Amino acid sequence: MIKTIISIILLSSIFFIFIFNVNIGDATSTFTPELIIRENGSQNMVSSIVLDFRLFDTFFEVLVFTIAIIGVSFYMEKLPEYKGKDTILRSPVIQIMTPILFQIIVLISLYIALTGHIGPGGGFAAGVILGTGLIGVSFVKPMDEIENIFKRSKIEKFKILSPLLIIIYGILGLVWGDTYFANFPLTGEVGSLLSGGSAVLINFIIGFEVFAGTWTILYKFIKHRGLL
Amino acid sequence: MNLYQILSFLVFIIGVFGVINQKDMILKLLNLGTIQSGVVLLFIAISYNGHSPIITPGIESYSDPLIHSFLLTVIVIGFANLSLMLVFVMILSSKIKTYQIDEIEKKIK
Repeated sequence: MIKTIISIILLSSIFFIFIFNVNIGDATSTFTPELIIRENGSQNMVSSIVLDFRLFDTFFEVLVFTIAIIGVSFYMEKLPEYKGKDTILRSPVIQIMTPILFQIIVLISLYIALTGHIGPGGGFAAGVILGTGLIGVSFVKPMDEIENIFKRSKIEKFKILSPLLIIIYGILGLVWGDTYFANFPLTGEVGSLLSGGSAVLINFIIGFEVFAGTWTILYKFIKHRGLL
Repeated sequence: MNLYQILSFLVFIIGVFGVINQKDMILKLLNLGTIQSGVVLLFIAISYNGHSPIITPGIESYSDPLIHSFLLTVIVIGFANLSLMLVFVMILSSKIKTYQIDEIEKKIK
């Protein structure tokens, strides 16, 4: 008991010292709007950092995410499959409303991926939203149908290609006479859809990757554990 | 000292207490997520400046977009790693038939 209390106090004191030495608003932006408009052209400053200034960082983030998902689908094979009956919710509200809501969710996800450089959003949010919409579908559809779509789309193999696409894009930076991971040389007008150079392209690659990963996790957990 | 700093410290303490005190392995992992929430809340509060980092005419100082982009990384990787850790716990429990950490230690010895 004493050991527990001492370890809790020691661990939280690390965080406590850090909290007392910082203030709200200590870290204001060192990036001025002029710099971001000149270099990148996106209206969303976070998007211009994630997709242009620190794309190398984002690339390794996507790589770690992909490896974690490969680990999930590899180690899940060692578990026995769920043999019980399907636990489909028989409530008419859920059965009618979920297919309608799913279409709206897909539209919202595409919109967020498309305008990630103009307003809040981006590839990660879009992928997670689309993957979450599939949880609702798995409430009302039988497991066989979902398994059929999952196997037929071969998404488990295609999602491994996303980091490769980002590498190819990074090497393409040499083509337009810059360094690796350089942006397209067309920044466009701030606030328009085609601003920010390659923002839309990379947002869609990352969105696809996160969506495929979320769907793989969901499918594997339902297949080996059941819905509830 | 701000309200957000106190709250993030409270969330952090709840997470640390859960990780150390809980005997169930799944609850330990979920408490790791709670610690992550506390850290994310603190960093959001530090970088807060009154304006979100979206370029608007007439505003010169923004919240720090660098910290926001780091937190994006933290959330996505935390989500993927939590699911990977849950798979490991499921494999362990399918062999030892329990989630309680005391019984697992007894059976391994």
